[in-house]
Amino acid sequence: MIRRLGKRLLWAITTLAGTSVIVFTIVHVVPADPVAAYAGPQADAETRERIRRELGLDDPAWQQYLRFVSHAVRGDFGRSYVTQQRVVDAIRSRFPTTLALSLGGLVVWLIIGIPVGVFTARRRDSLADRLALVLAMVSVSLPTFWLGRLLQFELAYRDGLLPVAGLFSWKHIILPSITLGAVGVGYYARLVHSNMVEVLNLDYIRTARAKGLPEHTVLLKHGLRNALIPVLTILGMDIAALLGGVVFTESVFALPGLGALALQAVINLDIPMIMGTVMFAAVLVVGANLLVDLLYGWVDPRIRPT
Amino acid sequence: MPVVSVRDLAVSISRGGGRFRAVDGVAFAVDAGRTLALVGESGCGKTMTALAMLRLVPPVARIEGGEVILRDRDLLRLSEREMQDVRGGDLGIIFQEPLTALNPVYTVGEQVAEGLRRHLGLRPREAWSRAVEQLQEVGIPNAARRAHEYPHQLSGGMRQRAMIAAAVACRPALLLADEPTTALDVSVQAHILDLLRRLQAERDMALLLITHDLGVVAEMADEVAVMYAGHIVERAPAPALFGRPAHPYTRGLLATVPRLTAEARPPRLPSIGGAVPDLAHLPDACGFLARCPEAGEACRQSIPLAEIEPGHWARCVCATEGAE
Repeated sequence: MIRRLGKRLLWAITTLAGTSVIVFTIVHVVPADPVAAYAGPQADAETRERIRRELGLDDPAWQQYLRFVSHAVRGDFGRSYVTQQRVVDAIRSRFPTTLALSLGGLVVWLIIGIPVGVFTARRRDSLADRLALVLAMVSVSLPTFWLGRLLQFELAYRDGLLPVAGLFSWKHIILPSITLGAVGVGYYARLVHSNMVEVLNLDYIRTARAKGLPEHTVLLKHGLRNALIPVLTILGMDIAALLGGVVFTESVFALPGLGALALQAVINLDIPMIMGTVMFAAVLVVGANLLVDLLYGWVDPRIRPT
Repeated sequence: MPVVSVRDLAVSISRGGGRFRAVDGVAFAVDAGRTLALVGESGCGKTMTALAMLRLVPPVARIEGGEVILRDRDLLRLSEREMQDVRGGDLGIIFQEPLTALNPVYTVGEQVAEGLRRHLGLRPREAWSRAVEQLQEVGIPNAARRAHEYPHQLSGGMRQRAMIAAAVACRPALLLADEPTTALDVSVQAHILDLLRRLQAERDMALLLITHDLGVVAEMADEVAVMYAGHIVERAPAPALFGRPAHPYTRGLLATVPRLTAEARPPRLPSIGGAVPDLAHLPDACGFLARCPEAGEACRQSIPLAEIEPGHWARCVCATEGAE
C-alpha cells in the first residue's frame, strides 16, 4: 500500500512539474508584453523598462523558472500584475465558488446519470431506453455556453424561477450546476448503462438471483457496485474536463470563481495569476486522481494489496 | 413421495427469428436423500432444464409448459415474489465455475450470509456467524478468518466449497449441481464430490447432478437420465444404465469413456460419429437418427419414452422391440 502510494505521489509530482514547464513556456513565448498589463496603457518606455527589471522579466528564462519554482514550493505565487493582490489570496477567496459549482456539476452527472444508466440497462431496448439514448446524445453535444444562456433566459429571466447570474445564495449555483452537469450526464448515463448491461450478463448475477434476492438487491448490490468500477476510472480523468467546463460556466453566469479568475488572468497576460491558477487546477486534478485511485481499492478488492 | 417431480417440461429458445425447443417433454423425479444425474453433451439442454426449474432462463429462452412440483407446489405457477422465496430457500444451486459465479467485490462470508438474512430473517451478526459455521461445515479451514476474504483470494476448490456453502446455507430440500467439479483439478474433484455426498446424507437432501462426466455419475448417482437434443432418451437406476444401456446414444457415451488397459498401444478411443443436430431443424423423428448406427425406417417418427423393464425407460424403437 505504502509503495503504491509512493509511486502514485511520484507520478503526481512529475505531472505537476511537467505542467509548470509547459505553462511557463507558453506564457513566455506568446507575442505579447506582460509589462503592458502591469504598467497600464499610459506608461512611457522608461517606466516600462524599470518595471521589467523590477519583475525580473529580463532575466534568462531558466532563471525566471527556477525563481518561480523556488517560490511556488513554498506556496508563494507572487502578486497579480493587475490588482497587486497576492495570487494565493485570490485563489483562496475564489476557490469555494468553484468547488461548489464543480460538486454541483458532479452531482448532476452522477445523481442523474447513474440511475438512468441502471434503469435503461434493466429495460434494455425498451422505448424508455431508446429515448434515454437520444437524450444522452443531445446532452453530450450541447455547448455549455449555449445551454447556459438558454437556461438563463428561459428559467431565470423569463420565468424568474432562479437567479440569473452572480453569487449571493445557494440558489445561484443551481443553474450553473445544471449547465455544467448537462454535458456529462448523458455520457455517464450511457457509461453506466453499458457497464451495467455487461455486468448483468455475468454468472454472479445469476447466482444472486438463485439465492432468491429481490431484484433491486441484485441490481444495486451485486450489479451496480461492479458496474461502477470502470466509471470511477473515467471519473478521475474527467475531473479535468469538469474544471474546463467550470471556466465557461463561470463566465456565462458571472460567478466569482477560479475559472473567471484564470480567464481574466489570461486576457491580461497576468503571469503570476496564470501560473497560480493553472498550477492550482493541476493540483486539483492530480489530487482527484489520487483520491479515485484510493477509492478504487475500496470498491474493487481485487486490486487491494493483500 | 419425491421431493421434486418434473413433468413434461419444455423450454424454447428464439434464434434468428425462429423458436426451437431446447428442452422438450423432460420428466423425472428425485426422492429425499437420493441423487439423479442428468447426463449429456454440451447443448443437450441439461443446464437449461436446471435454470427452468429455478425460473432463471436467459432472456432468449422461454418456459413453454410443464410442471416442476417441489414439495407439493408447482414452481411454474408461483408468482415471481413467491419464487424468490423458493430460490436459495428450498431450492439451491451450485454453478460450474466458482470464480465467475461468486461476486468479486464481496467477501465469501457476506455471500453466504446474505441468503441467511434473506430467507431466515437473521440479523446481520447472527447471519455472519451462521455463515462462518456453514463455511466450516463445507470444509474451509479457518473459516472465521477466511469468511473475510474475497473469492479471488481462495483456491478453486475453496471457492467451490464457498459456493456450496451459500447454496446449502438455508437447508434446501433439493440441490441442483450444474457441473460442480468440471472447472476443478482432478484431485479437488473427489473432495467436492465427497462433500456433496456428506451434506446430502446429513440433511437428507435430494440432489440433481448435472454433468457430462460419466465417472462422476458412476460415483454419485442413484438414478441416471441421459439427455440428447432436448429430450431425455434414457432413464434408469445407475446399475441398470451402466450394465444394460438400452439407447444407442447411451451405449455410444459409455464407449467413449477411456479405460486403463495393459496393452502397449491402447485402442483408439471410440467416438460418436456426426454432431448434435441443429435443434431449429429437427425433423419429426428420433433426434439421434442421423448419428445412430442402428437407425431404420421405424425411427422416422417421433418416439415416445417407453418402459423397457421396471424403472428403466428408453426413447428408442430398437430398445422397445428388444424388450418385447
